[in-house]
Amino acid sequence: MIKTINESIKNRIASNRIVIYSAVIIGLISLPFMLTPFIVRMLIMAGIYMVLAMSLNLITGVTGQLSLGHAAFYGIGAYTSALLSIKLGWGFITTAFLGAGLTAVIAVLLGMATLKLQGAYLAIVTLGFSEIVRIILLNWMSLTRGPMGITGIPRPRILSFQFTSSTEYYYLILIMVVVTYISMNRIIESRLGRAFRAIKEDDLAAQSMGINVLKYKVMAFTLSAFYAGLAGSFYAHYVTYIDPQSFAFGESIQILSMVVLGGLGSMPGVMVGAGILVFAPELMRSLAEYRMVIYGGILSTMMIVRPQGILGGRKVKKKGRDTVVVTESS
Amino acid sequence: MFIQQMINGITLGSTYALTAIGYTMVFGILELVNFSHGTVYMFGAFICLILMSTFGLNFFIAFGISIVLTGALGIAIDRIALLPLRKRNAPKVTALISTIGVSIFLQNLVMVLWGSETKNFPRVIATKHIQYDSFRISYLQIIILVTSLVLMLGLTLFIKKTKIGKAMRATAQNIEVAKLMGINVDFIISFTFFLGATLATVAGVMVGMYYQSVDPMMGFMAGLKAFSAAVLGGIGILPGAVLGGILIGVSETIATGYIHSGYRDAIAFGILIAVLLIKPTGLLGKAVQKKV
Amino acid sequence: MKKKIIVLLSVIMIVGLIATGCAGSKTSTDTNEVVVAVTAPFTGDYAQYGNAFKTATELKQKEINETGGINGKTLKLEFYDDKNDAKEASNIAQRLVDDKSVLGVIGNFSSSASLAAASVYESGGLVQFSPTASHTDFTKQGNYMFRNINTQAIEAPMAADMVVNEMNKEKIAVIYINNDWGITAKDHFIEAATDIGGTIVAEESFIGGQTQDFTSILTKINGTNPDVIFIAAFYSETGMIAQQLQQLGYDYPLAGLSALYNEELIKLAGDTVEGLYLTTNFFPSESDTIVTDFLNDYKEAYGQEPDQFAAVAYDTLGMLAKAIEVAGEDRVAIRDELAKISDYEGVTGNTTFNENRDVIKTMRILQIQDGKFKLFK
Repeated sequence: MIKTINESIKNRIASNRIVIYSAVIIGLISLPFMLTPFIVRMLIMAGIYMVLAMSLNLITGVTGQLSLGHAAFYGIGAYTSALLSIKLGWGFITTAFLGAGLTAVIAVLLGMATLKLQGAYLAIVTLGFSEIVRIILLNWMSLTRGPMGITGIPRPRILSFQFTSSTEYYYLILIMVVVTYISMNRIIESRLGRAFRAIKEDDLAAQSMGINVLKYKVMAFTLSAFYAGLAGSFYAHYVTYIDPQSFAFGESIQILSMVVLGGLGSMPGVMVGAGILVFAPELMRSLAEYRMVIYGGILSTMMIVRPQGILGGRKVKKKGRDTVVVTESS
Repeated sequence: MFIQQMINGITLGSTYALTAIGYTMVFGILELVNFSHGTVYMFGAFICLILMSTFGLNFFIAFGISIVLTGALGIAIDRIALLPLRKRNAPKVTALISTIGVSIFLQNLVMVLWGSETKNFPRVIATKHIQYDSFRISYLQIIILVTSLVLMLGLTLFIKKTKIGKAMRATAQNIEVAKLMGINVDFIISFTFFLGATLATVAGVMVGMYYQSVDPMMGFMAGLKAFSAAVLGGIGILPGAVLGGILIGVSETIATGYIHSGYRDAIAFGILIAVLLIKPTGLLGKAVQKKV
Repeated sequence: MKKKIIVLLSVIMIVGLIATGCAGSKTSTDTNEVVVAVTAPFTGDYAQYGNAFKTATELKQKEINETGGINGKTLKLEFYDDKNDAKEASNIAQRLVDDKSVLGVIGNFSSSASLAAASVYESGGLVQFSPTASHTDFTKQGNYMFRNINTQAIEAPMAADMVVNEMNKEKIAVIYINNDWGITAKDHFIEAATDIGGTIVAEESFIGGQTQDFTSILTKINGTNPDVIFIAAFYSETGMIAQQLQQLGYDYPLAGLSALYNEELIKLAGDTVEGLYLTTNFFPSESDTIVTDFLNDYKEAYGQEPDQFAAVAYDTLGMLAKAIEVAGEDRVAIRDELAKISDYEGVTGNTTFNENRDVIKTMRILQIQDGKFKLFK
């Protein structure tokens, strides 16, 4: 009896899918007009982190390779885009893609060298890499101005349209988030994605099935870095001032937390994770100096209470048993 | 000058080694990157300082109490933040994030309770030194190096010869089988955390005394370097942690002294990456054969 | 089932958004209050300096309210923790700009947080008065940016003069913290020192907040045989440097900047900083009652002596409050009135804004003698 009620609700939702989706779309588009500039700003930050979280999810959640250095890619994209637009005056799309492209190239090189490593060894290498990048950014004064940072990054310009207001930024990041989400889903469901998931599941078995594990790992890493670079470019042109401090190890951990909180491997999940971790500290501001104490407590508690993350739908394998029930998370 | 720099480097390395020993032990058994290790290290140093300054206790008593208290903290972290995850076979990353949460919680708690400024840590042992022509070695430097070696040897013996040690090795090899053999795995793991935390306290107090200061942020970098040292030497291998620590300390010092002080941390990490590329399981690590 | 969770979460999030949205846009319903926001790091690396802002501004607030408030209304302070992070600082900036009851902002502590937030304050039209941001570009970000501290372009040359002429040293080794403050200080110091006859024999940097071991840098410097070591860093690292110098058996005269004027330095480093010279723009002298009153009130309220950051924050609120008193509760008028301030008598000296909304304060030289800061010149 309950089953049939569930069925009928599902059918109701299915048939009204178009209505629901259009309502959501209209809602998202009109949000900036209904809310204060502060909330819009938070939404934009959430959008940036959603792109970052989704990109980290691709390498860590879907392909199962723990990367602790994501902030480095974010930073390289930001610096590249900022410097190109200041020194050469190119438009946003050019600098963003060049930024993301450079990030991807660096990722390929790093990946080829290090992705043979497993587990914690890979983690520490990615961490080390991210620290090296940060220290180079700090010390290479002639290029990056080191800790002085880069001020006066021009606001984005696409063709001849100049972005200035919060609302325009909002739409830009909204488009980026949607594009990232759709392309991520496409990747996951493609042959590429299947290879990624096979590697996460059991890379030895994948190798023996003929999958060139190293090649696919590098591909996942590179794609993930590309999107992070894009997010970085947007960030640079949004806050108009960047310095190496914003791309330190703590940032990588922040992004990883969003991914794990939302659910490893689940794209909608990590978006939720990003939203929560962007908004939560703001909502807790009234707690003053206890804010971070409580934040730490909440983070751990959420992990203990729901370790698979909010939308991590996979049933976890029980070790030692042969029969495994795995439900695909869409 | 070179000799003095080598002494500086070995001492710095010994401080890393001390912290890395506790780290690698927990890692070896649980395959867990424990981000709270650095914070526990800081906490241990703080407790010792507070016991001495606020309660006026003698150093050795304060040291002893802080070891026990911090050890208890280690057990608490395991029971509260990690055991529930093990019971549900959660992915390793989740446990990692959980330890991050603990680290943030603990660090900020210390700041709220005792303030965030850098505090002076009195030097209660051996302020003497041996002076040579162009360099000097202080007694404390020797003590730190010797302590890390003694701890390493002591722990290695402990793990090889005692029954608990055997149980720890068994758990490290295969938790399921250990359970089947009748080992109380949860107890062993908590005990490992206890040991790890006590080692962290020793490290924290020694470092605090050597640099004569403690501050709530000291655990962050210490944790990172300990992690690097443990991996460099081979995870779970005690001599590896000491070797890795000393190597990192020496390379940082030489980099500062002869290349460029600004890039010192980068060079240390660079060496780490370079070594791992050649020997993926660390300097003393054994290549693990993955069983199908 | 999954879809239901998504829908539920989205609903919760939207409700939460609107709730914070409504909460954020409140205008001053309590018309008996004048609100000033203070944004600084209250957690993290620089929490102690944020705390200095808090204690100092609260002291000033108490004084103002006890003498009738601002135009009869109570002065209220709201504190926002920026964690010394650029993103937090900008988020807070937007929040404050939206909150029409906030008439002015005292903040941030570090230049990077201040610079990141500046564009928001400028486009939102809210005064951002930093007691301590010393990056040269800060006041160039807009007309709403004010600072209350000498930039290193002014302080460092004075320090150079102190080292070369007062201390009579020629060969100088420089250690500086690798952040914008340290680098500007080092650059201006070296330029000025070489101009008046000094020679720089070493230039070493370190990354702040994560460096404890200076032995390698110090051994290297020892090899260059300097006459003096000039340190552009905050007190915690300077203290460690002094201690490690003694450990290694090196004996060199030390010199530093106004950030070192803090009793914590002596608590931390004890007699290893005996004889250290520093520049300062805050020092109590018997003839200056304003300063001695501040010192005594602060000590009585908090049990410790104020450092230069506290002193500067105290004056910052004083100046802002004065501007609000004259201009009323309009943000633009407050900005204009603040820019006009000249000859403000504060604990950090006689203060006037120039056309860039920077200040030039007189500086003195101190030396640590017998474990205390004594006026040298």
